[in-house]
Amino acid sequence: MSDSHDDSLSRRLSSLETDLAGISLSGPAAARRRAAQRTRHQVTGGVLAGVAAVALGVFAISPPDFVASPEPVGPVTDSPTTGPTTPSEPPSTPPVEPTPDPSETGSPDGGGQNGSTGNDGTSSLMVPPDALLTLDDVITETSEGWAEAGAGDSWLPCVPGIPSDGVGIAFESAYGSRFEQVVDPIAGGAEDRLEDLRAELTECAESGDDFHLVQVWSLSGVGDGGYLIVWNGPPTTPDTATYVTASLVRTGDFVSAVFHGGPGQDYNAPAQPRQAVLSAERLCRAMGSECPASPEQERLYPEPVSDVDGWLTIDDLAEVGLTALTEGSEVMDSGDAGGATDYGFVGLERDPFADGAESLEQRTYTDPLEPGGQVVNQLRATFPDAETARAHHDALAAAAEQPTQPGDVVENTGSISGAGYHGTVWVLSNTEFGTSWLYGAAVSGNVVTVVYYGLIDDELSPDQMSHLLELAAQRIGG
Amino acid sequence: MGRSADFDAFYDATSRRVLHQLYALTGDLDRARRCTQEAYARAWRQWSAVSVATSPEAWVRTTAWRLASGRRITVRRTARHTTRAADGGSADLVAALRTLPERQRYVIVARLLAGSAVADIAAETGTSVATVENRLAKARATLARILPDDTAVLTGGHRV
Repeated sequence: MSDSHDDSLSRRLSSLETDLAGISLSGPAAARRRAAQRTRHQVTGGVLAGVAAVALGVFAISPPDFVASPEPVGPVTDSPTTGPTTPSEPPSTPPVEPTPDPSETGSPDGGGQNGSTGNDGTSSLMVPPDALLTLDDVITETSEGWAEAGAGDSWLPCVPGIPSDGVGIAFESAYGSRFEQVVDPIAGGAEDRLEDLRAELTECAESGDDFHLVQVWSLSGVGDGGYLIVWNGPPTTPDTATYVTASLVRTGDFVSAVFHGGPGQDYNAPAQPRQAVLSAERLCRAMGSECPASPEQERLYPEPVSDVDGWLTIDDLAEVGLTALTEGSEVMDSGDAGGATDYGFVGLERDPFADGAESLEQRTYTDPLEPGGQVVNQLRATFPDAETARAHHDALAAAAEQPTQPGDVVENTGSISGAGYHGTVWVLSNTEFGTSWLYGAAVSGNVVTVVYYGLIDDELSPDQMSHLLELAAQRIGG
Repeated sequence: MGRSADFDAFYDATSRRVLHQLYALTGDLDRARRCTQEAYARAWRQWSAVSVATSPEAWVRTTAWRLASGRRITVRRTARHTTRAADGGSADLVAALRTLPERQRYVIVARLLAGSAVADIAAETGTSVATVENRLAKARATLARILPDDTAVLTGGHRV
């Protein structure tokens, strides 16, 4: 291909800069603040709480997402990806289940669990006034300016009105965002109410052309559990839709629903549990109790791909210590768009197709809460017979001992063998770039599998990779 | 120069270029901006290591690209809300780039827009020089076939 072709492409790529007019970045200080905030969360979680780290998501609707400012004040919260965080105020005492006593009486402003007996003999509860989030809470939580607005009659898509026994608050920002919370007391029926609310919201979010359900997560470790639901819907413009995140949490006989929404263009990170944690803490505090506040979330929608016969399982990854990698991708074949046509790793250069492979498939295993974080790659090359597969494996392993890239150092860290399989594990390091990879190749029958993993810190040892490769080899054949 | 000042100077000198490269890689201005910002935040967290890397800019670019290409969360979007991106003349180029497999797109942008050496791209992506050259050739051929300009004439519009 000619140099003039490259020159032409290069010029055209350079010309894309004109599209960047009017797009500004938030500046180095904002980057440092964001990094510092992330680090602070990690320290807090690790030292004080010892609770499971939960990744922050992105609410991609906040104004900084599309109204760039040179140096936004305060923590930046529009990250497309995430860093671990934990609640800022972890529980200092064992969780206490709030169990409102129907026989107890009190006034709405009594600050305790308020109950009365209805005409039908069932208990009715009242929501303590300080159980709701305040304007200051919302400003602190979102780093955005808000003003009080009328509760109920929300213009956010799918957001229900306030139930007759419930109470609500609402705030709106100058950027067109709305934040509201409804707390609904249902003596003996809060669990059903939570499920009904989830069903109602997801059904609405899937109800028509302008509505799209984006994510549904189950939430545990916060109150008595809940859901995070993200969707978009009207009002829309040619460039935006209205994105809403619902943070639903049940605490005893109360269900709190926080809705945060506004115009946006995308939502490409996990929903974050902070507002659920905050609302549960506030509700529990108002009732004089403490709630669990160690959020763990599990994605329900889009439904994760389950384990695939012949491939590593999520349990396999957990067994070797990669507990954060809880999501496997679809299996991609070399014939698929973007599918692998080689092993795609500098330590495993031998071409399986040149050695007679009939197919090459790839699967990746990742952390759904940390896009761009840890990833295990597994590939499987299938050969017409065991002999051809073994020959390829042996050639692949021999080649793997010899680094091909300047600065790379390869160390053979051991072999594996078992009933019908054998393999080898290596570590490749490049001190110039500060990169290290653990990887291995194994053969069983007519299949060669390779597994590789780029180290972020020292989270995986050669022994653990050996065990992982062993599991991969044992899985061959289903 | 202090540590912060060092980082700030690096940011000021490189962030527009990285944004430009991410836009070419993603075809989505908002995603490019968010991923670029996040990558710089991560660079600051590891600044002692990143600052002495052979190319801190390449570190940020590859980090931003990893973030942008994270496919863990499937985002269902309506067509009209997909991107805030190109119109006019650049729309063809953005669309053409998006037809490339991710790895081919990365090498063509790193090579022809960022000006990275093939060996450096190989090191960044954990592949060999031969693999990078192969991906470059395929990307060039695909773009030559798709883009309606003189590049197609130069290659006869054939895939390599």
